Amino acid sequence: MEYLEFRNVGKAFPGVVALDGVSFTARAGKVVALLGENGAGKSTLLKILSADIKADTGKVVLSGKELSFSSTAQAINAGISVIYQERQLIPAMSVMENVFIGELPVKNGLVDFNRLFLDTKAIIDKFGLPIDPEATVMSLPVAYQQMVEIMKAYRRDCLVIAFDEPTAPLTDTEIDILFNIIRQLKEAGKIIIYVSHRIREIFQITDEIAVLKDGRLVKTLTTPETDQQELISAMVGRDIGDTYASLDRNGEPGSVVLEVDNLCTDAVDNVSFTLRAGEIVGFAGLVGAGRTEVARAIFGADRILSGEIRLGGGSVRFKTPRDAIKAGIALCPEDRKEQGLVLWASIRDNICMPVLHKLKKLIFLDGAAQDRLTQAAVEKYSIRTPSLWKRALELSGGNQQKVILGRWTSDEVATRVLILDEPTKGIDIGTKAEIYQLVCDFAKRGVGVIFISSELTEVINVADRIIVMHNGHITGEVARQDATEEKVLSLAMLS
Amino acid sequence: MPRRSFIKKPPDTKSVVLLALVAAVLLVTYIVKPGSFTAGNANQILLVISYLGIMGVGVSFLLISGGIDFAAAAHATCSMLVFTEVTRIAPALPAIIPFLAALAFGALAGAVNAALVEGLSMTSFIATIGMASVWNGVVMWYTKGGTLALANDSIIGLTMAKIGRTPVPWVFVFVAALLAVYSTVLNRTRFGRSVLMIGGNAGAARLAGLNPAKIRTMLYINTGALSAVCGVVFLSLSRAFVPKGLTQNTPELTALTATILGGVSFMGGAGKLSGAFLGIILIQVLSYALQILSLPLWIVTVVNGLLLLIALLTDAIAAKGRYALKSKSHAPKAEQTEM
Repeated sequence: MEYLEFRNVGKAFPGVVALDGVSFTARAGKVVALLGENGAGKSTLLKILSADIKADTGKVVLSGKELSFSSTAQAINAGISVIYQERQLIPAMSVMENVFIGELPVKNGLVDFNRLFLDTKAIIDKFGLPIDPEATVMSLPVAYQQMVEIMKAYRRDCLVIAFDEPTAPLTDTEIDILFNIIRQLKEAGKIIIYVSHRIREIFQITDEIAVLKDGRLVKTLTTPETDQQELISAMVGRDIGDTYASLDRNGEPGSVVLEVDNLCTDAVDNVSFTLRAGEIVGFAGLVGAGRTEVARAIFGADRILSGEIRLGGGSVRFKTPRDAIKAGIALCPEDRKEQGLVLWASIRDNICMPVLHKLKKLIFLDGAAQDRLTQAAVEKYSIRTPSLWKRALELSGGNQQKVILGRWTSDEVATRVLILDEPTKGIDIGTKAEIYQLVCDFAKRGVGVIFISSELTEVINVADRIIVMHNGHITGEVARQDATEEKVLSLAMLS
Repeated sequence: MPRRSFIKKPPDTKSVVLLALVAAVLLVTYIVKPGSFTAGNANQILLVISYLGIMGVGVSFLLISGGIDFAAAAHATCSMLVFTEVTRIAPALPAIIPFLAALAFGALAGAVNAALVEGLSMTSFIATIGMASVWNGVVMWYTKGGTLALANDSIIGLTMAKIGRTPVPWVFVFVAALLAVYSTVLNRTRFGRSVLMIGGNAGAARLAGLNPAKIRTMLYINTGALSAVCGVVFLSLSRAFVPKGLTQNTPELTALTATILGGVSFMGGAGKLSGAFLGIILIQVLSYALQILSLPLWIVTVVNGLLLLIALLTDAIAAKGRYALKSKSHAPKAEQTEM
């Protein structure tokens, strides 16, 4: 019997232990779910499996043979296929050429398009899909593009097929098609790993469940013998440290500063909420629940289809982020490196960026004023750096986040609403605590804070109120006093 | 038993448009200046199309794979110099020997580009512009800017020969055959399909076991070799080595414009060589027409620039969706992946 075994697999990134001695076994003909919150280590495990990254410790064993690859192509050739959310397809080329990429059939030196067509058609028919082998991949709906990816793995006769959140872009009917195919693969004796945090699906399609938390394997369960409650409590229930208890919070929120009424965008449906000055409102939910999109819509980065936003009582609708910044809204995006910072620029340039127009002497920039402003931010946030001129990319994740926060605190920017999107992602515990206090300091100064986080413990302990989203909707609101991880997670997962 | 639907291919609107444009330019020229439709003029246009076409095939093949070569004209010029000098040193040898020497130089120069871009991971755009400057400098140093005469007239006949009494030069037939061969390679062989695949999504192609660096290296060498052939044809036309004879007309830019006009994507991954060739025909017919209509040179220059911009614009429009796999399902309420 074929099997895939993770033996004591560990992986650390700077400042974060992503995987800590994870061991479990997946057997042929079974679907094993990898379940866990964001940051639990699921993706890291898949990347190790596909040889995208190397484990620091431990090994992966396939039917008794230790796997060690130097490239992802080698892993594929050895029969391991990981289907990521970012599809590895060539959009402008036909389905059949994508399915047989790397091994196009040849006759007399020329590609045998006829056989290619027939062979692809045979696979498509086996899957029972209405796809034209000659259609370009980019002309297909997303679900079918994903099917093409699966057909590719099937054609290569891969023994191990791992799916990373395969249903995220799919509708219910499309999910049914996918599940049918997974069942077929299962019957064909494949080893299937299924990463998801949708509990309903896990009960539908998997046989065993491995629950990960903070890089550790918490539990392995047999699907028919467990229930939702057991799964959720396995996923949560971490120790709540003194960090949260010792936060110096703002006791009394002021008047309403931001009102959102029936906001609709491409990804958000009828979202309404209010935010008071000096209040921290948490947004909880799974990746893709629409939290980031709410922030982007308010900030003028995404198109608003309908609904109203009122800032300080007046109706506003920002066309660009620039307008939003002028009106006193600040956004710290989730992806610090891509969207938050200019990495090769200095700390000083990054901090002064939004207020440069105010730091001028005649037509030239006032260097002394920039230095003062930056120095103040560095001291206030204890950004650990030898000089104001150090480039942002040389800082640790925590210090980078502080630089972004520092950008919005100077007297020159009158921030009224601060939106933080996953502000502590990839940051070590110590710096996290500092950032929580900085967020509370913002609130104490009367800034309304929207705190988006996928870390439950964090969001229910830092925010005054927690709004939970699922699939573009708000599914509930909980006050900090009443918030438990179970309560919030239920709202986020069980629609 | 299901069969491939060979006839279902979408109509090639781009080629139809290009052909229509060529016809329109010819028509306007004929109306304004009927006397310009002479066998001599036709022969001249076809000769220019021939040497540009050779370069264009190489440049567009490389472009489809995601690489770019701005040194093609410099390579061609250096190859001409190699040919001229080998002929001078050994005038008694048959023309094939200096030709092979030029070809070898072109391939070598292409390999240098490949080494810079694929080996040292330099940006192809800038690295090949740099190499173009280096080679042009070498030519200036060697010739001190002067014209070099050919030691014999062994290759003059190359561009003189015509099919019977028609104005069609044999070298044009050769280029048409070259185009057919390269088109077949691109469209029907595994190598050709791999070229399209690495141009369309190099990451996915690598994961599927293809080797983008190796394929592009071959294409850089191929571009260099074809540039050498282009140079020899040009040398046959100019009958002497003129250091800036070829480069002053920036044929590498013309080839690139034509290639993109013909539907080859500037970002790689899509296009047909026949389209690129049609683009070259259009540009040459147009520029000849502008000259015949006695429009000043500056208009010709501006028109060439506008053509490049139009080509890039249509490419930008076509590229939407080609590179970004649609992130939205056909269901409007599907969850979005996080930004």
